[in-house]
Amino acid sequence: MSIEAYVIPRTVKEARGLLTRGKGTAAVIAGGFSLAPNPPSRIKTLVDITALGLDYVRVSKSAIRIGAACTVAGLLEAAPAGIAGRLLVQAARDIGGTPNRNVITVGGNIVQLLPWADLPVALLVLDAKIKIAGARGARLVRAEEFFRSPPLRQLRRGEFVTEIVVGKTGALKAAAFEKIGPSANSYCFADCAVALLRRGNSWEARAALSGATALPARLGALEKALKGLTPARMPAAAAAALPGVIKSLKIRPDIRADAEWRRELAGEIVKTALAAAVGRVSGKKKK
Amino acid sequence: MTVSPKKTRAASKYRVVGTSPVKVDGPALVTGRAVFVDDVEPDGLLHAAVLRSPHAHARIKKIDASAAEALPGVKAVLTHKDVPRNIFTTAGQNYPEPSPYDSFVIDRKARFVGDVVAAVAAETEKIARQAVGLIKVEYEVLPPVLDPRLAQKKGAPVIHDEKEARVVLPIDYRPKQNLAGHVDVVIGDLNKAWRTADSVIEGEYSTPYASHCAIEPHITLSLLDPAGRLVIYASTQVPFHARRIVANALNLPVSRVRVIKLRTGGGFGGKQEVLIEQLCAALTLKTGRPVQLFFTREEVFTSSRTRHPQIINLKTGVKKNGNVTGIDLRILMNTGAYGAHALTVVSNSGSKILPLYRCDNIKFWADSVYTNLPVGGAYRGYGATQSSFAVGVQMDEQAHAIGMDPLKFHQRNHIREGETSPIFAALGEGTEGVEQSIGSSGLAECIKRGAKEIGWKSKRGRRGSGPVKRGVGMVILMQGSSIPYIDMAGATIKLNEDGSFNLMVGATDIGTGSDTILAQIAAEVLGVKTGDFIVYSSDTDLTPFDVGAYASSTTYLTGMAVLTAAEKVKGQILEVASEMLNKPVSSLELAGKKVSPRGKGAGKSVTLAEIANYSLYVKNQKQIIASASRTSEKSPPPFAAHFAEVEVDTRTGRIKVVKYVAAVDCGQPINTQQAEGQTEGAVVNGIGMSLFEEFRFSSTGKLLNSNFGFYKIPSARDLPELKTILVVTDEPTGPFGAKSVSEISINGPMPAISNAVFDAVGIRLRHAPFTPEKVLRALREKRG
Amino acid sequence: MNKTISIEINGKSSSFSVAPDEMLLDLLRRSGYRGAKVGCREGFCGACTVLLDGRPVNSCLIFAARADGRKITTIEGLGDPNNLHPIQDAFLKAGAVQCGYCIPGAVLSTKALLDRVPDPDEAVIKRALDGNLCRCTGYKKQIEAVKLAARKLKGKKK
Repeated sequence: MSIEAYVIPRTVKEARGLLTRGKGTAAVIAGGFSLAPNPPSRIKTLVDITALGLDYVRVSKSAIRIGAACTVAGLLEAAPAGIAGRLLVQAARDIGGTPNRNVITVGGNIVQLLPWADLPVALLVLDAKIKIAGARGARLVRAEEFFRSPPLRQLRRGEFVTEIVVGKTGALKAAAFEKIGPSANSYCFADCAVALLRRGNSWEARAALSGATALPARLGALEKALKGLTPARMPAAAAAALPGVIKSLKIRPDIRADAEWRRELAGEIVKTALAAAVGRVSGKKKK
Repeated sequence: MTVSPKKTRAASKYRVVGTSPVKVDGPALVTGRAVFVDDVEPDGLLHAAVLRSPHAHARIKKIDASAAEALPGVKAVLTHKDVPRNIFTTAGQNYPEPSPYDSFVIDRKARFVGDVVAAVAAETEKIARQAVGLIKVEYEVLPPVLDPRLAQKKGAPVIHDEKEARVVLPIDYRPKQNLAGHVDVVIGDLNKAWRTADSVIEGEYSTPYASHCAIEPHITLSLLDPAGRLVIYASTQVPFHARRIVANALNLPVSRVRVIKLRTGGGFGGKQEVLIEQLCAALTLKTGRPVQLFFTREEVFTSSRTRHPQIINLKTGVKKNGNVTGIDLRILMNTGAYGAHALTVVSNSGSKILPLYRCDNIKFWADSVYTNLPVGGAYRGYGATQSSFAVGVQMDEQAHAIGMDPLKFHQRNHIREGETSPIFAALGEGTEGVEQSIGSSGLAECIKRGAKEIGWKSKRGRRGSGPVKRGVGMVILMQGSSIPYIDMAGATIKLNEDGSFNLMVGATDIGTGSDTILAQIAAEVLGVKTGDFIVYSSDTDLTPFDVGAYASSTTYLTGMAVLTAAEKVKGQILEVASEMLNKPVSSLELAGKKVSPRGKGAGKSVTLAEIANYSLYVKNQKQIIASASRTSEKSPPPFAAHFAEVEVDTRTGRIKVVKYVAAVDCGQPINTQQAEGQTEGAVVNGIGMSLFEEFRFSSTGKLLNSNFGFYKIPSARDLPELKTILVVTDEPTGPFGAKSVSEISINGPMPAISNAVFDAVGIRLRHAPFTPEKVLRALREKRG
Repeated sequence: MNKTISIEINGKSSSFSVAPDEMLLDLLRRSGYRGAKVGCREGFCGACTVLLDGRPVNSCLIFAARADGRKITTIEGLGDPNNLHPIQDAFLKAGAVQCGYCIPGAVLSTKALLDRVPDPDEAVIKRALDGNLCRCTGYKKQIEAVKLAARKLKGKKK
């Protein structure tokens, strides 16, 4: 270990400065789950971002804003209401064990993409935006863009995630999250989120998958196949489209299980999540 | 929940036995004050780190430690050149050990990825690890054996080609063929068995590598005391074996070694191994300084001991009426790179399951082979876990084949009180076994109560209609209690002047509760409370010999030694009281911390404190103290019937254990709560092994999932509804009727869950763990 | 470069000189709070659990420097062998202790739970203990201990 300084800045600006000046030898630390056990040898300065006041969950009429240093437990306790809020809570529930959830941050979860990264699929179907602070101020990146390549590599020197913005839309009618792993709080084999939106009479299904694949991503081909269908007709259409969709997935290596099985599993949990979301729409109608 | 079959005598007969007093070491443990090895920090403590082989099989051609030695803070580097070349076994077993002598403190050959190549002691752990990285090794990489089925093939690489490899008992050991142990037994006529059977089933079953996962990793601290003796603070199940093995390995007389067992953070067999003590001690001898060697979790996974994987071929014959005509059990066991417990574990795979079923024709054949993979060792269940799975599943297959309810099938076939099995005499621990008949069995009651609790009649065969199916399954089990004519235990009890006692035992409480249980046994005899004992375990200088915590022996065997010592002390107490009261011993009784003449109003009594003071200070002065030791002539089996209720998701293949019932006959439980705790801990460990625990290797033999992230053990959220039923019986040879309880229940979950899955979805899971992947594949094959 | 920090441990403030790479677990252990145990150093086993501002955390994952100005509760801050905290008493009475290595962590997780949720149901208890691995007990008696502790603490408040 070659950590020479552990700094706890009090402002975003100060943190940004430390990271910029560190010229690649400074790294952001929040929960510590990925960095603490074995920091890369090039890292000399750790910039702790947990004292920047970024540990909030703010709910307004238009959005749910989550500070990057908000812990998973913090998100669960804030329990933001509404379909989007409930989806976030569902995805956050089984990240690690209780002491882990008290340190793992929402920002860390989406940046490090450790196998416990269950939030990205939820953020993808909610079309969330990731706020990144950098030398030239802040920029907002759509989740889909953010996860297109490994986020750590995307962040430029001096940059770090400060906030996740989940915009509220009345179009969102139902959502569901599914995850499967070997035990109750394992790294998943695959996880999936589905959201159903309605604009006028037109329905849209969004589905995102992670765990089985290297990066969390929306399942564009599936979404296309479901576009314009009523929720009731979606499961059948999904069953027809999924074999083709999962066939084209790039399954990442996992020492615990065979790739082909995980490919199939991915299809199964998409079906399950879609069925759950559809059930929520039709359940509501009955009331 | 405790139930007694025969409106007991048992439950009410005892004052202390069968109750659940708070553990004697409990207050220290629950307040974090208890001293584990890592909590001892003598001045000048050095920290050790180990260089481990990256190759599965390699000879060390050259090793250069000069850069490591030059690093500031490094106090010693040991390679194979720096330690005595004495061969021994790391298996913490009685001398002469039934495991082959095939290990050195550090060898010039590495036999698995993670084998010891060199060791460093430095001022800090960080420096020690840095120094390890500076040692330059030139390896001659050898072809490895990574598949036990290929170990004995002609031309296979010889793993133990060292000339010193040998056995110290007359056992079948053929290192040139990578055979670490072999045993076979034939009883009756197998051909006849198949001829007379209506159903003959043959199948292959397997169990994987698994790690004990004691939460305290392996740790040792060694130092030289003011007299220059080597003192080892150990987290061990076997302090006396550790003393002997370390002394032999390092050319020291036993008298120059003292092993002190502190609180031990779990063992489960993993610490029945003398694995790190000799290495740490060698660093202390080299530096003259205290040294701590503390395994990382990764080292625990890769380089400590594991459950031996087995490939089991089983053939059984059954008549339509349910009678078992024959059992042919053939096992290929992978002992890994060293032969720790190689013969005895696989022997137990026969001896701890075959007597369970009434059957006249039995064949048992087992090879234990070396491979260049992690090393097997003792692991709770000790071979019975593996074979109980195969036999437990195939008996369920047989019941299905003849159209009989498995409950009925097991009820009619299990061994009963007064019956014997030829297996008892035929299979021992490296030697022949000991003939015995069953002195106590509550198995019939276990089956009855367990079936009722799980709801067997109402749930069996009702799968449900959705994609998630339900099923129930069962299995019956046995184990042993101690190793007859081999194990030995001693105990010393001493009276103090306030009427309290010291109880000193070599038996090792590693979380098993034995300090408390042994105090309860002594308290029962001496008419006092459990809390009146100051229990000390274990210290090779101060406590009598005991083989240690293994083979389900402590309650049964050490318990008898304690009981005998307590009776001797009681005799001495009565003699002194007789002198004080001027009454014959025969007219006196010891109860309630005092000795009184028998009968109401028969005269004045004397308290234990008065007796102690009298004997220490007044007249005919002496210390009231007694020691006793015991061996056993039998290994009375505890019995159990386990029941599992599962849900199987046919879409994902995921199994969920909904409810689990363990009905156990452990004789008279000494501490009811601790006996339940042993059962519950074993069951949950077994559920982990059933569903997700296994080692995953690279193609070059490197363990890939050497952490708790990728090797999951159950957490509180994986716990099903779990019911323990203790069926009380009275074992005539046990202390107050006790038998063992700690191991048996780990054997149940694999077969019970597999059988429940069959009930739910009609597939047979013969290879553990039952990952969703395997379940889904089997479902697909069934659908065709 | 070492830094001097101040931490309130079990109600008492002290200063410590800490190296930038020192973990909270190591700081606590070298300062005499040895009830926090080393089990994996990767945040998985929970043997090193302490309460940071009232919440259970893996002290092996937290750099000591972060604890500057914060409150820590270790097992030494609850009861002692002659004066057990009701949770500790409940763990013993329920038979929830075997080897005891995971117990300081489990007791502290229980404390954090009962401070927030005085009357938890079984699912909530399981969730609160899910980061404290125990290989001995199978958790059943630990869950019973938490229920017993909840009853004890409620009785005390009345």
